Amino acid sequence: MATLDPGAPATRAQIAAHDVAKSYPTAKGGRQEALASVDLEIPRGQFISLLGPSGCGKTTLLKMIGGLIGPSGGTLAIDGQPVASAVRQRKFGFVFQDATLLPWRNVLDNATLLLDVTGQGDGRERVRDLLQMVGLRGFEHYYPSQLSGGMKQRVALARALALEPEILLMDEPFAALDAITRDRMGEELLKILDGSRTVVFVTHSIREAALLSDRVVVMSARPGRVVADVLIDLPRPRDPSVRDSVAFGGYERELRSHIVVDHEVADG
Amino acid sequence: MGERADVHAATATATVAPVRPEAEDHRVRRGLQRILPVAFLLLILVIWEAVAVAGSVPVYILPAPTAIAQRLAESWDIIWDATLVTTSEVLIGFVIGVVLGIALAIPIAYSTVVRSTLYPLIVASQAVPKIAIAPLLVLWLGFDIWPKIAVTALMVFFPVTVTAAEGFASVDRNLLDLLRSVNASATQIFLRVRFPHALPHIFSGLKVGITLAVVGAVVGEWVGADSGLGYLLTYANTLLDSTLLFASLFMLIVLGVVLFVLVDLAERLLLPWHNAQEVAIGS
Repeated sequence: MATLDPGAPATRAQIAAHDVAKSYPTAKGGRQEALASVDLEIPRGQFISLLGPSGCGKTTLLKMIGGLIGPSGGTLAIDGQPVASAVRQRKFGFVFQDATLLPWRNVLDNATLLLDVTGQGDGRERVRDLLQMVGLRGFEHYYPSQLSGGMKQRVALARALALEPEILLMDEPFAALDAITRDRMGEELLKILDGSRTVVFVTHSIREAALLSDRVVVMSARPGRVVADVLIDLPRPRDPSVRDSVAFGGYERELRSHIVVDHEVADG
Repeated sequence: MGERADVHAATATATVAPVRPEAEDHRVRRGLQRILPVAFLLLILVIWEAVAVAGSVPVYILPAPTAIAQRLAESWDIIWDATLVTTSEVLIGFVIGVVLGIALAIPIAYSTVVRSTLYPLIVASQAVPKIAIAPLLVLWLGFDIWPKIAVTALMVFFPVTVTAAEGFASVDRNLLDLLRSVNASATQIFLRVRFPHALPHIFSGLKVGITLAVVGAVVGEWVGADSGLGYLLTYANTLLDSTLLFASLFMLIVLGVVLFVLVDLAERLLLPWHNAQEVAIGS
């Protein structure tokens, strides 16, 4: 924390992206721009959603923040340090759209996978508590093939939280679930996380983004770029009933107005 | 069969509560699935026996099943000794082939350079008929057990390599990302994820491999041996002793089936989670 890059602006942001871009070489020899220049500062403890249609680069941005892919331009810093050193300090926890559980491990062993890999066998009791927190008490010895989609994602969440990451990166974690389960999972995520850690949440659901977030960054496609940055000033701890409030409706409308309709698709 | 007909009648008339009859119907169908192959085999044997006993076919062309069974009992000592020899060749060759196959699959799964370098050679090694290189192996390794083991291992490693390489490489990208995000080493990822993930793939290679192993040992024995079931086959053939030939063949089939069943059993015991998934897909 103390050793800030002298060139970087002094900031309290935990995640700082400056002019970050990503492009891929195409078969024709040109470059396909996945993400145009993005500037984004995320303070510690903020729940931020990246909202937008497919192809807007929100997952690309998430993966760059987590160090899974490198940017092709710009700088990214976590607590003023390069992403790689944040990875070494195991600051990130990931939840993906698919739970990607290991079918040969039961619920408890799946949740402790990252503890086993990092040699922290003493964390099993904490993981039991985590499983209880995500509503899987009594299911510790079930195998993934015996679980519903929602339960699998709960295991994936417990697995991500097992290492007590400072930053939770969630890539459309509930997108593969049915609408009712999805709503339930969102409500429970509110309770489980209760503003205690930094979360970057990728979604294409306006409602989900508005319910969960302190702030929503709306992105648009071709190339991916930020079109709006909306603070969701709803009280915390947040109750799911907030969705019935006038303020919530206002935020939903505002977010919807920023979603750029893709004319190529709309006209076709 | 009568019971089955009753069950059908019951489901047809009593549409109100079909739960129990359906379960029974399922059980009947499963029982039938077990009985059918045995019944079919018995039918073939009966026809075979009838044709042979009718006397139109000379014994050296087609001995009757009962004659073969009798011969099996009479020459049991010779046949059992030969079976033991061939079994040891099959097992040693199988183990070497499996170890070799998996060892080869690791660099193939990890490196595209290795894959593109080795794959053509590996495929070419399979395109060469083993019977054609078996004499060469005898020349190199002598007349004892080693050329047989070599042919067996050569046949076994290929399906194991192909399936294991596919298994190692087919792990979900997101899962690998997750492990990399906590700085897991390649060795940890291999032991905790890639290897167990590949096991169902490897087992399908092992099942192909174990049947090929029996073929390999017999081919090895044909070229130069003084013991084993393959040797007994050629020996009986030169004497036109067809009952001994068929008796040896019978033992080879039993050996192949028993070994296959053992591999299948090992899979069920070691990978219960995999079978659970298969059932889920099947239902």
